[in-house]
Amino acid sequence: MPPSFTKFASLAASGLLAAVGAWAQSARKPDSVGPLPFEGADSVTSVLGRTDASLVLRSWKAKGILACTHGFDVRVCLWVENAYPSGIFEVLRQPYKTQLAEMRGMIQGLEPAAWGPLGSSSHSPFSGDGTALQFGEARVYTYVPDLGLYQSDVPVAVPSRSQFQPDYVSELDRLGWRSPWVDRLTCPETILAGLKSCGGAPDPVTCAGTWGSYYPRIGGVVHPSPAVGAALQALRAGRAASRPLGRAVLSTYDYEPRTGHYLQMIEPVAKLGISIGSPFPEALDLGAGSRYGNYLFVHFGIFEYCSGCLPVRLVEERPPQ
Amino acid sequence: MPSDRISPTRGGSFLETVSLFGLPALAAATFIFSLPGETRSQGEPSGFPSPPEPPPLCPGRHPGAGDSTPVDLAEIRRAYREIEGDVRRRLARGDAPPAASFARPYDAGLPACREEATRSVELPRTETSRLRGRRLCFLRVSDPARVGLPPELENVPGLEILVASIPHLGDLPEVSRRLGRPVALGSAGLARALGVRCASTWIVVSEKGDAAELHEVR
Repeated sequence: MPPSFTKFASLAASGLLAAVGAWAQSARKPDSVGPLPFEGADSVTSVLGRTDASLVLRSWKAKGILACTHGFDVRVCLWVENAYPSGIFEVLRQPYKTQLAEMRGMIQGLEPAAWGPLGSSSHSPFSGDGTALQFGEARVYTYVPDLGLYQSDVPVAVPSRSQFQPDYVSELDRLGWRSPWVDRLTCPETILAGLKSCGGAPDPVTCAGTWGSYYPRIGGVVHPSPAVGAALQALRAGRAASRPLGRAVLSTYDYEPRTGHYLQMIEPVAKLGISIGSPFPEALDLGAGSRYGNYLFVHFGIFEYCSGCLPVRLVEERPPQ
Repeated sequence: MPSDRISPTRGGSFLETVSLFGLPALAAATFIFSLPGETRSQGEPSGFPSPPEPPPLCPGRHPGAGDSTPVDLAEIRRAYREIEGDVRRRLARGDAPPAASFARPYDAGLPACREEATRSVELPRTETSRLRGRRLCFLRVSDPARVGLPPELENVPGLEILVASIPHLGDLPEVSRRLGRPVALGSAGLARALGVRCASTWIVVSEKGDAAELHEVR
């Protein structure tokens, strides 16, 4: 074999290897590995079937008797409060994926041709780099199901029924979901939350108890528990959707997730609803690690109501139980 | 030699000695013995408090002013079971599949720029380290098929494109494909915080991060 041919072949092989390496490392859309097991595995109907509906009754309580007048009459009513499902929160480690079959085509249809440098969201506590940082994409959907309680004999606070609608898709708010400076520029609570630790001073306005801070409302969370960390990411997305300020949302989520209200895990394991910021997060955490980092929650707001005197309204935050 | 020292051998000296040393000692002993055997702070009561006297019963009668109904526990139980059954039936039946769609417009509320202009704004000093050197573009998309970037931006690395308005959200991938970059939605709140007043506007933050140059394009 002539030496010139060997030289040429080795040069060609080196060039080919370099080209393959450069192609593999370029910021392009990664090759598809096929659908993940959780994609489209749930639906709004199946979520409703696993919703902890008994929480509506468990949280029901009479707050008192109210009397009011509209100028020509006197109304006396039973003032009640109870939790009621008002939204679905989704947290995923993979962008442009969803667990809800209804949303699968739409979310996949948003996938861009190029992801750019901020495309990855695969960091998790299991990444082995010594941190408990986890990052996830999040979605917020309004969904107030009809549980047949509108016309019951017992007065129940039921928010106005609304159709399922996507409110927040973190991939569309990629700058705000990934960079804390957007919230620092536009959301004053972020500055307040940065002055203290929720471990030492878990005030109910900026902290979900000791789970962590609502602010900045970004997808990166340092938390030792993937399940509780995912719950915190979901709550942050819910807060961004309910009070956007500088954030890009599709529509406003009317039921801000507040400390002391309720969150129920549906995926990876269906659990009972838990008070947001509960000092006993083991109920949420135990056995709830997800292999693929997919989490689905139902948010229960606490509403109060007094027929004829007080419209259904979301109550303020309160110490978690 | 006369001495001022007190000596018990001198006349009247015993009484003097008693008056000089004995009286203070006596007063101290009296004070010590007058202290109570149990040491307490001032606010603590001595001993156990006696139970308060129950208030006297009111002999008057105070009937309710309106209609009243006795509590019927059986009825409450029945109503509760009925609610439970309603909820169970509703959950088993399920709702109709929801119809959600991205075939809707998005508009952050920024007006269209009427003319081309360039101006500078100061940025908050607290965020200088995070903003330095950033390039953002608030883009108004009226027709995804004809979308494009100003020539100055076509090869700018790290440019963040924020769509301020678009006729259909579902067209975002098409915009991304045409621009060859990822795109996201922009909000009026962020635009205002950065001094943007219309779209399309592209922003170049200074290397110090304390100022930005805004280029408004039609």
